[in-house]
Amino acid sequence: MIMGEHKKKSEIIVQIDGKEVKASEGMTVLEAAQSADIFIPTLCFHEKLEPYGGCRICTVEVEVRGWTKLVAACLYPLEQDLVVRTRSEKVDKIRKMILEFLLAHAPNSPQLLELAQEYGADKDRFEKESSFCIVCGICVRYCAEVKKKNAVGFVDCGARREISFIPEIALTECIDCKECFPLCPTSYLQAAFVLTESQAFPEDSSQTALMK
Amino acid sequence: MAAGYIFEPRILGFLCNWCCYAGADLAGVSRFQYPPNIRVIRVMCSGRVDLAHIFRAFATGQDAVFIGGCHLNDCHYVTHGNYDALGMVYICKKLMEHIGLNPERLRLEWVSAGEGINFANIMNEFIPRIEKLGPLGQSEGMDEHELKFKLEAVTKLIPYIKLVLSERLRVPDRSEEAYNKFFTGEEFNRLFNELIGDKLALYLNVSARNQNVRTAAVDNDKIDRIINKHQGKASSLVQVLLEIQHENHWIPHEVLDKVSKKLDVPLSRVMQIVTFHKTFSLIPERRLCQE
Amino acid sequence: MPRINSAAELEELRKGVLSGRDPDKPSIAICAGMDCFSLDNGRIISAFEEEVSKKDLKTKVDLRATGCHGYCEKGPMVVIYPEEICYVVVTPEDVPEIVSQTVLGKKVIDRLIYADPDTGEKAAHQSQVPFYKNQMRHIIGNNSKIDPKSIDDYLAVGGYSALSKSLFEMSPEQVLEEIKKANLRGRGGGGFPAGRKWETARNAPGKEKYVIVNAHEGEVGAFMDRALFTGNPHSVLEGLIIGAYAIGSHQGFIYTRHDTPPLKNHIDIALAKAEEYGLLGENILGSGFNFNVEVHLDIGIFVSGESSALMRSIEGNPPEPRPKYIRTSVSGIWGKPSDLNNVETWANVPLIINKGSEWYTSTGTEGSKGTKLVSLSGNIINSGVAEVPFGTSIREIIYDIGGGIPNGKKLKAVHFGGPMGGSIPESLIDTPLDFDELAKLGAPIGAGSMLVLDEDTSMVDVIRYFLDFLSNESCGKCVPCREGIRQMLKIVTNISDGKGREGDIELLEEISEVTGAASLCALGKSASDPLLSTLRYFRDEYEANIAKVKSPAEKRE
Repeated sequence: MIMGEHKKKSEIIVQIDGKEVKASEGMTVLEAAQSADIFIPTLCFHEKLEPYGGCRICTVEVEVRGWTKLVAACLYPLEQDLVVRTRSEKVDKIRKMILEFLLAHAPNSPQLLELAQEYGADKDRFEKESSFCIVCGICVRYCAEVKKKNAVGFVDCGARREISFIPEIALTECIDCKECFPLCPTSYLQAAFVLTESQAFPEDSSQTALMK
Repeated sequence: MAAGYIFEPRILGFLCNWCCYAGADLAGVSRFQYPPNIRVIRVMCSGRVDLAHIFRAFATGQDAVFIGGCHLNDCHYVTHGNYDALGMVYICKKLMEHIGLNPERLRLEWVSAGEGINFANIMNEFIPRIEKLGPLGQSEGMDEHELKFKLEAVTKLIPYIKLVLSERLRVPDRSEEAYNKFFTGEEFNRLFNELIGDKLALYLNVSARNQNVRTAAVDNDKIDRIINKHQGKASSLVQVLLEIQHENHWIPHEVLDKVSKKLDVPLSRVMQIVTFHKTFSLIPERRLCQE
Repeated sequence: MPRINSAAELEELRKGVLSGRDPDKPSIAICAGMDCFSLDNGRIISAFEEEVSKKDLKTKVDLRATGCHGYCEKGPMVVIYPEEICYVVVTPEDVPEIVSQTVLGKKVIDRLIYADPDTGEKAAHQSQVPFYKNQMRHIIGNNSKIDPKSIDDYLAVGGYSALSKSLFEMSPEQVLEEIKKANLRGRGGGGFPAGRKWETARNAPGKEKYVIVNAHEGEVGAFMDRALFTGNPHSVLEGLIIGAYAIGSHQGFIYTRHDTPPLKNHIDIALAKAEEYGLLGENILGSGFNFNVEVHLDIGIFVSGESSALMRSIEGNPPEPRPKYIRTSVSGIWGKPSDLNNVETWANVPLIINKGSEWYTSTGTEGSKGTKLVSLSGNIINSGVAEVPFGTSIREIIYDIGGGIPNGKKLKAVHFGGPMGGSIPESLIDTPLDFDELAKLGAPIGAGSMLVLDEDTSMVDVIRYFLDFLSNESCGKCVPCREGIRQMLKIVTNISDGKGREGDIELLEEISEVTGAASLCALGKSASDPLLSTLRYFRDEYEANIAKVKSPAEKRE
């Protein structure tokens, strides 16, 4: 049992973009920034879910004990006297390139395009990739953590990583739910769903889709 | 084929109300002759015609499909639906190629309301062409059963294909040049193969294999013993799967289910691990000679 | 076999084992390592067994299938003790002659001993063979003397004396101090001081702690961990138990590959035997210290060798790394402090305890102490596993031990660290083998695999191979790694196929910067290291391909 677990978490002061922010120990940089109305872009973050650290677009520069390093804001725990910089040359470069990587997959995603404007990302920098999923994992995690149904999961690994619905579960659960659909930044989730429908459902799938 | 049987092709035509249908009407009124094998359905715009309609036509016995619309940039609707028809036909032809149907059986033409003779000429060229090709499936060397199976496979994938078309295969510039350039280009080829071609091939294979999978021998007792040894221990998931793979050389789907229930882990996590690396096989593979 | 319940009993047992062995009794050691196994040494072992029983020599001659002797190029290998006569490239037909001539007749068979390919000079004794002469085989030297399935063999060479010393003559803090003084650095690729890691785990809050042996060895071209662990599992086990004692852990895990049955087999036998003898389990050697070990297999993917991914896999989850903002030695498996070390690191521990940190630090350089196992492969005459002290120059390793480059070719580069390492060009091979020296040149030593490349190699192709490997073996969770490697692979493939474009090199450098800075784990962060090191020393090859001129390697064809 860690000492002080039952006591209120201690208050600490950190510096974000030159502004002093009061926060409590154990919060992440992102939480502290959001509480102080400082914007850090995110793609795979969602308030109802555990932070994932997959998109890395929330990368910020932190300085602690004289060392500067680049960390993911949604995961990095706060310490007393931490100095955070949410924009810098390095940070902007990283965000621009991450956006360009993702735009090669989903050049029409509204979230990506909005951020691309801010960071000057060129959506044609890289050759178009076939898959239009950006593997942010929001759908998978939402179904696992909030709905607790685990109807959709990751398959494969590395560059081939994809999301896939589990036909048996999707058959019974998804028809009445579909709460993850609006969370998807592209429309790959719908595509994956109809794909699963087509391969698993014996009846005419176009009728079922029309009825919803 | 019985002696004395003459093949009469059945062709379905989707003609857009404003141009092509009027053109066909004009051809009739002007007594321009063409073979009677085409049955016409009037649509308000050629862009209305869907992939599902075309494959349904083939599945219900049509030997060819004709789509007629207004000339490009002359569409009577602000949305320029004839471009949608153009894109759709490119995809459709590619799909037909993929499942082994002759893409010539689908034709898209632009005929305006005053081009009656043009319409007749097109019919006089198209219909004998189909006559020569023969019934659907025959010129491609497919029997009835195989044809039905393949058409069904494509039809099932259509909702997915339409989403892919609108997300990935969009042409931002509504011009004939841009459309032709995109759809005959390398990028389209590559995207199509990776997004649709692979899925289609996979689906065709999986469905065909499903028959064999049922009959492949599975030593259920051994598998049950392995699973029961680790009952309830979610942390042994990887070990259990490895043991089953080693014993059985592949993991049937029902076993994945069993593992998920008995070890109390979500099926999606089991799926993630078995697909994580090629160590695991979900289909009975032929054994290598090293045994 | 009754349990050993005290240090004295252990020494009694050891004396008993040794007294039952005559040092002058002839013994035949046949290398049963992985490479010799694939060269069909099974038939040689059976041939020896047959010959020995035919000539009624069962009690007069010891026959052992031992661990890997290291000289994989010249396998199958047989060593006859006590003279240490070393026969190379043995066939089953040679067996009767070996038994009658050498074992009984004490004569050396000329045609079977090592001959230098250039000078023709022969060497009959193992210690005279150039491959072995220039090594310092502290860790792996015992492989040719013990049967990995026998714990008595290990006791006969002094095994478990370090454990007994730690448990009865030293406190856990003293053991930890000794390891820290010896400056034992991780041999798996990180080079992180093991003593410091142990200390963090020891001081971390919580009563339950874990120690882990990382026997995954996913690095391309590395096979020395396997050779060591399969050949002498007890040495690693002893180190693990000592480490557990120092940290205060009572549960250990061995994480190893699923595709090497002999390795798992030997580990299982070693664990069973150790427990039988009272060296593992409850009340070890009567000291009151309890320690148990579980064996876990991997699913075959490279990323599961990463420490946090490995711990996820032990928990039963897919092996996905997590960022190390909180160290795994503070929060690892199930959130408990977990100390993870490589096989070779653990094997160094009994040595340090037995001989002391002062002796240990007398070998090596300022920053890197002790010896290192390296696996030589690629365009080299003597491929295999070698052990050299830190500070040995790479030139010595390649030419004196490795025998140089075959077919009269010139050396172009040596690649360290597999897909996450870098290359040293021929001009820099006088660099000593040292964690920091090599890291400065952009080619961190990694786990110790040395891929030797000759003048006909296209460096661009080598990089393409590594990137292709990584794109399949990364977990795919974070964007910089997954997408970065994907794009880099595309560009390098284009360059390799002669379709490179202006600005490609600059783009590669830009992507490398982002991937290196923003990736979640070490795999992503070091994915571009081989590329950057080849750009540093072999930039002309890339530029040649882009200018659509034949690359220097192709020109020669």
